[in-house]
Amino acid sequence: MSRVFLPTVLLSLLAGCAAPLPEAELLIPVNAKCTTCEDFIRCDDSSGNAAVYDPTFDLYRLEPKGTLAQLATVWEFLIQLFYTRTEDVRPLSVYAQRPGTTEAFARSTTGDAEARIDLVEHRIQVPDAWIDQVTGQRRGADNTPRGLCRLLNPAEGRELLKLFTEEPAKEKS
Amino acid sequence: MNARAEIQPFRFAGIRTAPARTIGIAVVLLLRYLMALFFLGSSLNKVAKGWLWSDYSRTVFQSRLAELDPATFGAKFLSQFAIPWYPLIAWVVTLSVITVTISLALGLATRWGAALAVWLMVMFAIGGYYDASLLPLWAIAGLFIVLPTGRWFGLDRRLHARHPASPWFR
Repeated sequence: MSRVFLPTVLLSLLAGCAAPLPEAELLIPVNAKCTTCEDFIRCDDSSGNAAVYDPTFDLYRLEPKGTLAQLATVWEFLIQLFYTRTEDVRPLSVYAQRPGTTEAFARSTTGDAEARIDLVEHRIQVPDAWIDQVTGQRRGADNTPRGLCRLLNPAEGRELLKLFTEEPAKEKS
Repeated sequence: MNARAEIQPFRFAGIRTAPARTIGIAVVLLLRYLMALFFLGSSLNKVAKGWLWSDYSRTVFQSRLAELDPATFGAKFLSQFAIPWYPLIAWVVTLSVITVTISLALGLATRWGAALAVWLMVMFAIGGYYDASLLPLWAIAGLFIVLPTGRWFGLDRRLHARHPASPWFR
């Protein structure tokens, strides 16, 4: 009986395979299968006037997943034949630069947040906003436009991150 | 030798006389089939993406290299070994995952198939693909090296009976 039972169960499970998600051309692609990747998305809250220098930007750092989330990927890999994952969650830190009052820039860091990546709608939900991965547009919770975003290559992202770990910028004389 | 007689084949009926042993063996065998399914997914993916007859593997290694910190060992391994030697790596990886799939699914040279799986996963980790999900996979594959799962349920049982001196079917 056992000679027939296990293969039969496995073949029955294979019979109910899940359909893959539709593919789209993304301006901000994020590898939902990578658990150890670090992705940097820079969003500039620009006025659109190139003549006006605007130092305001947010850097979203999508961090590697934690140990438990990495372990869970074994299960996700096994059930991918029967269940199509529609969301990925990544730990997130937000680095913000704004015009300063006493210094040239005011820089702040917010950790312990999460980015929820909608694998169907191709949107990344971040605190107080969402990013359209197809167009790169960032919109607030009330759908108001909040500038454009682009994916930085990891080296560029790590370089930009140094701004937030260095000494505060001094007022230009 | 009595070794052949000592290892009883797996039977569901054994649950009446030795329930703990039967359930334990059933769980280990289920894990073996799940791991075979895991490697089957990997094999199908590599064949579908043309690892053996295209430069797709190089693209995969290059995109992984772009994700890694250049100072890490994984980045150096990819840039100095895996990418220059990508056709060889692609063949070794693809044929190895197919071999592991067949070995674990059929219970054929199971201990050797499991050892190959462990070696492959160590290579993945060294090559910049380490994450915590490899830890349970190593532990599970280790079970198939230590335990005679192919003789509980698989071709190893028959082949060991035919070739008792062969190390392949122990």
